[in-house]
Amino acid sequence: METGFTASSERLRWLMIGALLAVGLWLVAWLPIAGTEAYGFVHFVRPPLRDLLGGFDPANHVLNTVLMKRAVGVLRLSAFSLRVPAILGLALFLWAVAGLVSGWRRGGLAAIALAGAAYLGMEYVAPASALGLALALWTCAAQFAMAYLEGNQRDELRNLNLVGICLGLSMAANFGFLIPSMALALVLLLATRRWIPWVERVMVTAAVSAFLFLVLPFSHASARQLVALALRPPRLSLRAPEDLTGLIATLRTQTRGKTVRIAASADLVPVLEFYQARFREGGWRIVEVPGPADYYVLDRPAVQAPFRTVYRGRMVVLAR
Amino acid sequence: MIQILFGAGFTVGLAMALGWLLLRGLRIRLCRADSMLLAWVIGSALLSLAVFALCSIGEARASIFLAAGIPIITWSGWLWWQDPPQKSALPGKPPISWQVLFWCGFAIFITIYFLNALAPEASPDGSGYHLGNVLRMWQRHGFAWDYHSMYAYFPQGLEMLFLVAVCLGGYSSAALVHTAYLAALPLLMARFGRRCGLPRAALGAGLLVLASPVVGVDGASAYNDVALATVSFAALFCYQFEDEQSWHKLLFVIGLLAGFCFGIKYTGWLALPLALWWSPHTRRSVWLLGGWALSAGPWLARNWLWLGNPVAPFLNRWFPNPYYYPGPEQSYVADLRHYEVFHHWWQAPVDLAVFGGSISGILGPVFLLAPLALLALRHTEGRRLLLAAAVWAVPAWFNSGARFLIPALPFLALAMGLALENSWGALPAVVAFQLWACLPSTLAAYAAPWSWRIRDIPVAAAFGRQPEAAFLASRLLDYGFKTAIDREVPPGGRIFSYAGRPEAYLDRTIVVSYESTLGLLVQDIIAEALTGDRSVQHQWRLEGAAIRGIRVGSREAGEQYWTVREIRVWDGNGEVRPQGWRLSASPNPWQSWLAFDGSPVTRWSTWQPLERGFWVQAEFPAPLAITRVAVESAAAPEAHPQLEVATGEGAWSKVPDRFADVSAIVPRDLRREAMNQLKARGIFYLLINDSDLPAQDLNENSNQWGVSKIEEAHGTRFYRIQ
Repeated sequence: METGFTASSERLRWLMIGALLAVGLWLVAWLPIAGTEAYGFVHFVRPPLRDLLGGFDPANHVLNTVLMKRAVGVLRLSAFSLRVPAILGLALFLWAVAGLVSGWRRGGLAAIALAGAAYLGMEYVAPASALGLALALWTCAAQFAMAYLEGNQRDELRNLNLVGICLGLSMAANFGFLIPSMALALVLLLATRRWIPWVERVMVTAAVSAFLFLVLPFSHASARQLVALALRPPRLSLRAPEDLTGLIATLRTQTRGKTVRIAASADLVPVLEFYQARFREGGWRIVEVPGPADYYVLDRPAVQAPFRTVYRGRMVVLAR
Repeated sequence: MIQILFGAGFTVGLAMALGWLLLRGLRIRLCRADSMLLAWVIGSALLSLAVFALCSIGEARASIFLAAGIPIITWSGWLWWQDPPQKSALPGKPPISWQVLFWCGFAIFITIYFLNALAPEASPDGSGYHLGNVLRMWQRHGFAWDYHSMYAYFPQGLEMLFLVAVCLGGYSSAALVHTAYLAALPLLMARFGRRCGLPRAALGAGLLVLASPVVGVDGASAYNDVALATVSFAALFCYQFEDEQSWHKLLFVIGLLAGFCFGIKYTGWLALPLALWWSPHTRRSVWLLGGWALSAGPWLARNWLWLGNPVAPFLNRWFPNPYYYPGPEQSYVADLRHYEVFHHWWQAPVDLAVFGGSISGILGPVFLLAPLALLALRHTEGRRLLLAAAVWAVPAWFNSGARFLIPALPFLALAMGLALENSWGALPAVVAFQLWACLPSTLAAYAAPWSWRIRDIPVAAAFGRQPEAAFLASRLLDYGFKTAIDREVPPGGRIFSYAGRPEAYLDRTIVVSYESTLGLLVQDIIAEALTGDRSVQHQWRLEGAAIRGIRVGSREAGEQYWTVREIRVWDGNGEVRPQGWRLSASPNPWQSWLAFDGSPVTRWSTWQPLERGFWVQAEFPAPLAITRVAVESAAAPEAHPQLEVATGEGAWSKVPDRFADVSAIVPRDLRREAMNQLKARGIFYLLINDSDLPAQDLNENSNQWGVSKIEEAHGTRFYRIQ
């Protein structure tokens, strides 16, 4: 009976994970591009890698950026390809949570569901922050740490190594996970009190994993900037992203084959540049308002003369 | 290109032959790989000694190199063929994946370095004093005893090998010889790791060092830092054979290598205390010291006999000599130590490892993980490696520049490898990252644009498809003056410059301001003319008693040098000109005559900070009835000079101050007189950068100076003194 119960609950958990992944895939495909995602594309994904090595930007979450660049390179530019790291993070996160609750007879399913929903919600309100990927890697590290503490002799050192690698990659994904990663490492040390394997397998591995991704971009930062980055809470955006697909379609129709200047507010310029690259609109010259232009994309619904509204969305208008 | 490869190949082959013969002669039996590597390093020390001997007797010629070298190579090759060393049977072969990683990384970077070395030599110091010295030795078939420059006083153990290579193949051959050391270094590290049971750590460490940008650019040029690193590492490597070979022979070889380190550059003296510390046989250290003396002794002896200072151009206070002075020595050393001011302490290691903007040269980003090497302290070998790294890092305190850390890098990298070996995946990841981050194309993305590194792979120049002159003109700004210099300056002619120039290509004597006493004097003459003749005159009136000599001494101390422009003496008939006078001074007796030459722009200087009791004097052949003595000296520092007169043999008495008065001298325009003094010393040309002290005045007042501009380019002007 117990074996049957365990087997069926195992199957239910995998079904739940599959369902959450499916929801996640649907969301990344359906949700319109957000301002922060477009900013990340314009400043970190589109430029060549060499440009990223030459400066420090606190918004550049290095591992996330590297994965986005690879995904865009393989899958071509789209909102989906930019969100591949988030989906990868979701898969890792759910796998790690499932591993952590594997011994729970009751509540494990609910834990997975709640964790998955929380992850998706976090990605919704903080897109392109790499929080999800960092959290997923941190949770993987926690899962490997649990496996090590449970005393699986055969995989003992392997699990410790994986703790270190995951913690390092978590910091590389979002440097704000420096303190949580150090905390987890310290907890592991206090639980095991075995210095040498802890140093060799966890600390060194974590340091090297993070170092390889972060050393070049971070070498341009001051110590104060790095401390601020490590301590800075994640920035959440409570405003739902505006779906500009209709506006973009109208703009493309109006400007087909022509070279036009398009002025937009500072928040919308990266979004337009994303769609320009997405649809290869070489004739668009996107500038920030104020400034003379052929078209204006404004986030204020009230348009006055001499502007004529071409497309009106929920929060933005296209005018000329 | 064939000639270049022949020159380098013959030099390396001859060195290996000599090394192999020594190992056979000492009956030191090693496996094939160890034999080849150590034969090259040990043989290069022997070849250096042999060429030193030839240079000492003025017979360093291509014909002699070939005549002696071909039989040696042939004989050595025959002995090798007769009784080849066995292949290595060491346990602990590294995994295949590591071997593939190592050989792929090695092949990529050695190819980059090889092609850069094959291209015309355009490095600053390489085309400057390293190959400049070699050029002079080539032209004179030996040491240029009449050429005085501080860089000629340095030991030139590696330049001996460069000489063989340049004679047979040109300057690029010399760079290729240095690249041969660079190729040997990671292989030696790999063999070391194999013997210590650290194969993966050693392969990884070898790649970390090989890929390091400063190691690459140095090793692909006619420098000597990588050679020093290789030879010093080889000395440590020899200790691995302590259980297999007789100790006294091994210690002799180690001593030879340690001495060769000193012969390569002065900082190589550290190899001796390290070797003595490593040696477990204190009483047998006499063999080690003997080998060291054989290798290093000739350089000390050369400088002692030639200059009176065995460690010239340093320690001139201990070994006073007319070829360099304590004050400029202090200034030179202080300049070498000058590091850019960093606002925060952590900026220094970041600049050293990543940017190379303020500290010339880049180690590579992974060396920011160097603190992890402290984990190697748990192991005996790790402690030994870290101690060696710390000792070899000492010169970097006294010389700003990443290349002074190159000798420490192999030891540090091995310690890092040892520390990372047990962290699964860490070492290969670090190595792969260093290989990627140190490629020239990747470096261009993050390193400072002006950092010293390999920027490209000059295939066209390497294979001779791009004219050498065009390549050099693009890399060496001063090369553009070669045509004008060849046209204007006769062979043997002298050109004064404040900065070093590519002497290897300009083929004229460049008198550089800080490099020699002549340069310092010329710099002083120009400064006197430029600063407007601010001087004072101390005058004493005497009663006309018969005096056998006068002495002017200082009564104050200070930071600046004390200078005396002129000492003039009158008797009842007027001014008395120096004729048959015995002139001397303390310090700097060799230039005491400058205080009596009648020229207002030349002056005797202490060339070290002023102290009480410094003096300059003149002794007359017969007593003179002196009525007045006038001493012209700079207004600062004020030495409050004391006049003493010699009334009898050795009897000096002070002249009271009540007989003295002080007056300022009306400033004179001394520009043309300064140029006349330069011409009197055989200097008829000037190469002046915009940043040099007299640049603006020379440009604006060339008529008053008596110079005419021949050519101007890239902020440098070439003048003729009319």
